[in-house]
Amino acid sequence: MSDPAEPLAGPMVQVRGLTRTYGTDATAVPALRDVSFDVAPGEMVAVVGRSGSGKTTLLNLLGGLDRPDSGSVRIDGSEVTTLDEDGLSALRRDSVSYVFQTFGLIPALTAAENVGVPLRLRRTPVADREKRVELLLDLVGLRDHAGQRPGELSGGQQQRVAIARALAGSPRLLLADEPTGQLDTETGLAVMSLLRAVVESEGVTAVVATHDAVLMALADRVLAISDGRVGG
Amino acid sequence: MRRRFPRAHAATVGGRWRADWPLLLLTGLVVALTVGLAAAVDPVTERAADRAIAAAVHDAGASGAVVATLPAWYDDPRGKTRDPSTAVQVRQDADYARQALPAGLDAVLRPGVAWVTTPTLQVRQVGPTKLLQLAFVDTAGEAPAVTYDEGGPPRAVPRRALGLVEVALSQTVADALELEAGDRRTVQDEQGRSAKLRVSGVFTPGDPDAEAWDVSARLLHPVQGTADGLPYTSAAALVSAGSLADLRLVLPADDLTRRVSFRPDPSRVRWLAARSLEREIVSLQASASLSRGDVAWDSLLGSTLERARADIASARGRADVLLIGLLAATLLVLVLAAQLLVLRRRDPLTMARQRGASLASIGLELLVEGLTVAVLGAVVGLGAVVLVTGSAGWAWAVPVAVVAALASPVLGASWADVWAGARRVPANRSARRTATRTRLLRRLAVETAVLLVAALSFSALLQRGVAGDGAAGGDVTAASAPTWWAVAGALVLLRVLPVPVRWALRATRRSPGGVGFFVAARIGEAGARALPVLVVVVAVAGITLGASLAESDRAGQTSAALSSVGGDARIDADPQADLAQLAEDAEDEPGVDAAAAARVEDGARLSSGGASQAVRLVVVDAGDYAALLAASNLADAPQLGRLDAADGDEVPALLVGGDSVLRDTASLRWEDTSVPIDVVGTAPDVDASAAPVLVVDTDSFAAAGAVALPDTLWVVGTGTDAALDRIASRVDGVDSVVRLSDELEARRTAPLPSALIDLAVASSVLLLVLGILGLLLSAAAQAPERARSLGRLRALGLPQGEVRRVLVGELAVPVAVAALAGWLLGVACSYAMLGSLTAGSPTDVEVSWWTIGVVPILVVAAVAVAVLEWRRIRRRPLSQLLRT
Ligand SMILES: Nc1ncnc2c1ncn2[C@@H]1O[C@H](COP(=O)(O)OP(=O)(O)OP(=O)(O)O)[C@@H](O)[C@H]1O
Ligand SMILES: [Mg+2]
Repeated sequence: MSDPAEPLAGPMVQVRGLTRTYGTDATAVPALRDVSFDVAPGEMVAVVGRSGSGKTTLLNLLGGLDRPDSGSVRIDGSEVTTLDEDGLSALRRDSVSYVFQTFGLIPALTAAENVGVPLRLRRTPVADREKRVELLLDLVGLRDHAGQRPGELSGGQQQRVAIARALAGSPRLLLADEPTGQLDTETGLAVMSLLRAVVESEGVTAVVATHDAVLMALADRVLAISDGRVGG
Repeated sequence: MRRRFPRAHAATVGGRWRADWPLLLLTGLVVALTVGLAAAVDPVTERAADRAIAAAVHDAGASGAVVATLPAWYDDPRGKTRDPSTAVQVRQDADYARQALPAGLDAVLRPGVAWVTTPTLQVRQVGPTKLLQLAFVDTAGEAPAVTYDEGGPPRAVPRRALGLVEVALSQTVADALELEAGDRRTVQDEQGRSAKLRVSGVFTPGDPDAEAWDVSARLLHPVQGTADGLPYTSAAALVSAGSLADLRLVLPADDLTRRVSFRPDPSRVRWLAARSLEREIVSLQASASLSRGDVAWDSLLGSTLERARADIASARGRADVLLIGLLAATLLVLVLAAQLLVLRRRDPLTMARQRGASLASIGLELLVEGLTVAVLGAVVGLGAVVLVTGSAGWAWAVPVAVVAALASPVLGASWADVWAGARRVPANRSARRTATRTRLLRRLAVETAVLLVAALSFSALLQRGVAGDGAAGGDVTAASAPTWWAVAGALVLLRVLPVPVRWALRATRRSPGGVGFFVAARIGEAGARALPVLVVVVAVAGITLGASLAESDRAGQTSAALSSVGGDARIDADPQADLAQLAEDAEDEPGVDAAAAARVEDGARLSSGGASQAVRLVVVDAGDYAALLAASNLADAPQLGRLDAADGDEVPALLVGGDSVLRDTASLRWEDTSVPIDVVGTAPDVDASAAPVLVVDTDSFAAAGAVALPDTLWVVGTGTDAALDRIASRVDGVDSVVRLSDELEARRTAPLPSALIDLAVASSVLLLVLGILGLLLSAAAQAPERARSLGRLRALGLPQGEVRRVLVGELAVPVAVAALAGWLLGVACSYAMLGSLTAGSPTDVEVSWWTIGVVPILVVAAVAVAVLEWRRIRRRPLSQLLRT
């Protein structure tokens, strides 16, 4: 995917005419209708909208977890919607990473091992992996919790592990679907600020879905979505 | 977005039935099958037991008869007169004895055969000794059916010939005694009281196996032998109703024994009635000793029945061992099915609870469904059994139906409560710690209880065996020991499994790649679930134990058959038959490895000091016998070499069994001589049922002046049967050829062993099916959770191919471990328990190592399930997997 020769001038994410309808005919639910927007490299965009407005649908399409009915998604200049399964796996392994609302950590693994998962998928040499894991745990402030399992961590700590994991593979685009949805306001804010900080320090482009107004303020730009349409 | 919970209740139930019918059908089928099997146990046991009892009674033959000995006739001291109604009196006395029989015995005994017999009388004449017993036989007013080749039946003699008694002889007896119709002889008893006999005719029996001939085998088969160095012939002659009055007149009353023999009809003796028959016989025997001058009763039928009942009880106990394993696996599978059912309804159940439905109402709805399925299944299972066998046992069917009906309501209600969040994990740390501790303690309590029960049931097995008291069922506590061991073993496995998982994680931690690591992580997360591990362990352990039980039984049959024959075939013959020559002929035949001719005499008296004991004497060429034992699967006997070295006057001998006083020097009574015996070693333990056995060498025996012509020939070799077909007819006097293959076949096809083997095969097949079913159900129950968990890894970029490998590893590794553990437990149980379980001797314990083959079968099934599941996961978009 990454061609060093290619100039980084263009947008990191380029969405054109994206449409996704669930179901058929009578029961059809148009979740996204003709959505188009760009996200510049290093930018942090907040996608906001009411429940059911299409935020999750949009993020899933950006990460190649779902396929659109029509339209195109380009990440760093390459078309995502035409990739096959293996191409999508590679995309997620190398360029796009996810932070889930429910953290999605593997319970049997320690915090450090969870962070190392994307590096394992890329077969990073052990020494490099361990160095990077240590660095990221430091970055999210969990250096002292490296050996704990998810069950032994608080919700906020778990989400910080999830963020460290999302950054481990040095992705170019980080997608987060309501990363603070399961956290209380205070912890949510702390996690969001952390996300903001690490995205900046790692130079990652981020698209974050949320409906918390306080969190929107931390973003470079807000993309409002309602009834499957992007406005403002 | 979740589906709405429909309001109409009936519609909900109907809709869910439509959605879950395959699962409900499966549950119903498992219930039907198990209830059917369990219900069939009692009628099938009863049927096999009836056949076994009938076979035992049949095999007992004449020795199974109930015999009444009537008080001696009274001789008027003023002189006897001829009473023509004597035979009628005999019949009336027999009818009187019949009426004294208790109702149970009366129902199973055939019409009585009344006898009047004399002691063995000596025929007064020069030349070889001739002994003759006189017998009158009456079967329901009839004399035994015979056809006269010469002369006719004995008749009352005319008044002028009083003092003479007419008798008839069978053709063989006439030949042996060298008598013919019309011959007269005088006979005398030990007190010298004599009678004159006239041979009225010579006959051939209509049916040599008829009960009438039970009175004396010598009526048809005269015995020849030597006593005090002189040859003798012993036979019996038949007295008729007409000549009985004459006999009564010439011999004193104390010379005439009057008996009535009632043989049981094997087909009328029922297993369930056997015990009361035994009691009736005991009280019958006791009653006679109480009132003098009355009929005295005697019978071995009681001990025959008791032995048969003990065999049946032990077979039933072993059947219980297999059935309990099967039942345990079935119950686990039913719980797994209920678990899957409830998990599939997680959403509606959670919502119902959240909307305020009481746990009772949630449970009730599931109970109605569970009960319907359980009752339908049970009715089908019971119905099928009743149709096939005519009756059904209920006891075992109940737990199956109860578990099938209750599992889903109980699970549904408690899980709905958890899912609905009513029982949230406490936020507070110490409360959480307390909750964890309670859970751990509860688990520990269950584990301790199971281990305790396993230990107790095992000690019950060792102490009491599984036979129970011989009533309808066996000792269930003892019979459940193997299953408890399997359950306890599974719990231990669940305890220790996290250790190897941690090892595996540690071992793969430092690898750059992932599959092994992710498999270990997934197993650590979800793999070691209690129920599926239990099902697989119990199933595989049950299969292994069942197979070992069956194999040990077969090994026991083989060695018992070999012991009783003594080689691949045995010829029983007259000592006159030239078996020594036949042995040489046999050895020249192709396919014969060894042959040995011997004299086998049961009841020879061996005495030492004051002690004396009956032994089986085997007089055989030591070298031939050693070669025979070496060529067969019988235990070798290197000590046979010691028999050749005759040392002084004493005959060297080997002894097995018997009193210890007999060891060292003793003397053996052989015909009229006393042979000094020097016990130099232990005799080969060929037939444990014949102990004690004394073995001496033919030549040493002859050197001591004792002659023992062989009456038994053992032959060993693959070509034995064909060889005997060719040569057995070369000598006269062969009574029977007993072949190992026939003997083995008879043991294999006997009612109890064959029923038990059938059960072992059926239960093994069912256990395998249940094991695979358990695996499928638990895989299906965990599939959504697994899809989510794997979905996360996919979202992080795990490629499809590796998803499949993780899935296969995650499903197959725990199955492999559990199956292996089950197999090891089965092997351990076989070693520890078969000694107390098998019908044969403990040395016949065979462990079925080949059941290790079940492990790959289950692993392959797990891999197949994993691949199918992967196909389904692959088709579903990740967005959907992550949304749920
Ligand atoms: N698998 C599906 N099948 C049918 N309709 C769906 C499916 N997934 C989503 N929808 C519908 O598409 C629309 C957009 O859903 P989406 O999950 O993207 O909203 P959202 O903005 O993420 O909402 P929330 O803030 O509650 O997460 C909704 O109306 C939803 O009902
Ligand atoms: Mg959403």
